Amino acid sequence: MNEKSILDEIYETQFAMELISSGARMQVLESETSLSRRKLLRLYKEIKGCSPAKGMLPFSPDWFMSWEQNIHSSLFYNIYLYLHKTEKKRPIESLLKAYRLYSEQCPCEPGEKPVLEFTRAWTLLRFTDCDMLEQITCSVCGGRFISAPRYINTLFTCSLCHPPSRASKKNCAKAHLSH
Amino acid sequence: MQNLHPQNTINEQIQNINDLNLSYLLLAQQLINQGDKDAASFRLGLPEPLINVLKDLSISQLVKLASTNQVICQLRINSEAVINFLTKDSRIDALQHIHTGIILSTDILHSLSGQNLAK
Repeated sequence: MNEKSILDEIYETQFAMELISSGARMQVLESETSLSRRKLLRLYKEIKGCSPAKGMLPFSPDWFMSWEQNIHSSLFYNIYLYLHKTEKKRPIESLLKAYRLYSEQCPCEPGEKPVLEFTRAWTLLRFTDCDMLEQITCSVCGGRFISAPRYINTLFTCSLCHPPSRASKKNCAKAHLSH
Repeated sequence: MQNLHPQNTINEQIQNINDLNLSYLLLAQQLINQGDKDAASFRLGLPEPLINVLKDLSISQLVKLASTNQVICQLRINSEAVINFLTKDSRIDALQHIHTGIILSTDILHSLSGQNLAK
């Protein structure tokens, strides 16, 4: 083994560590790093203290259309697009950085899961890559939001300009619980 | 405050503007040099060529740039309608900061496609 490949491996391991810490599942690690499955499993256990979740990844573009999820994914995707267009690095590197910037603006309550988890953000990019999800501009505020192609030609108003009626109920319930 | 001579008030305001300008430029440099250049570009809403110029300016050059009676940075949300949306009471107040984030990031994406068109 020559010197360069050792450095490569160190770099890949560090990158995998960052991905795992951000919440990446095995499927993400296997497709985005060149490390073996065995090594990734060990790394995962050492960092998280438990085995990675088994089973299929959540794979539904409709998830991103639900109002609150849509708001979170839209912010993340705008950040990702900007970084990806300016950096010209591997998409996964821009994704990692964009996810950090997104998390700064949407910190989750201690003990709660973020609305948009890292692996979910990764699947969002799979959907936009194959045009199963696109961007649409809100006719009221002008912000760009994630949308399914079937809505692209309709007049769109985002859930922040016109919150759905069920939104307030949920927020009230949360406020009530915290008292 | 009322017994101050108007000229004193104006001088004080100009001094405050100079201070704000310099603080802004110093913060920009700090974000660029101590963190990630691309993340700094995103946070500041400034394109890469400008980031590269700001990065290498000396303190005396920053002071020179900051010394004017006008504010050097600009409100990035420049539509009164959008400012109204972002500040009015909403049933989902807890998410309004995300709305601001979406508007700003949309705007910076627009500026990017504008640059590409120019090329």
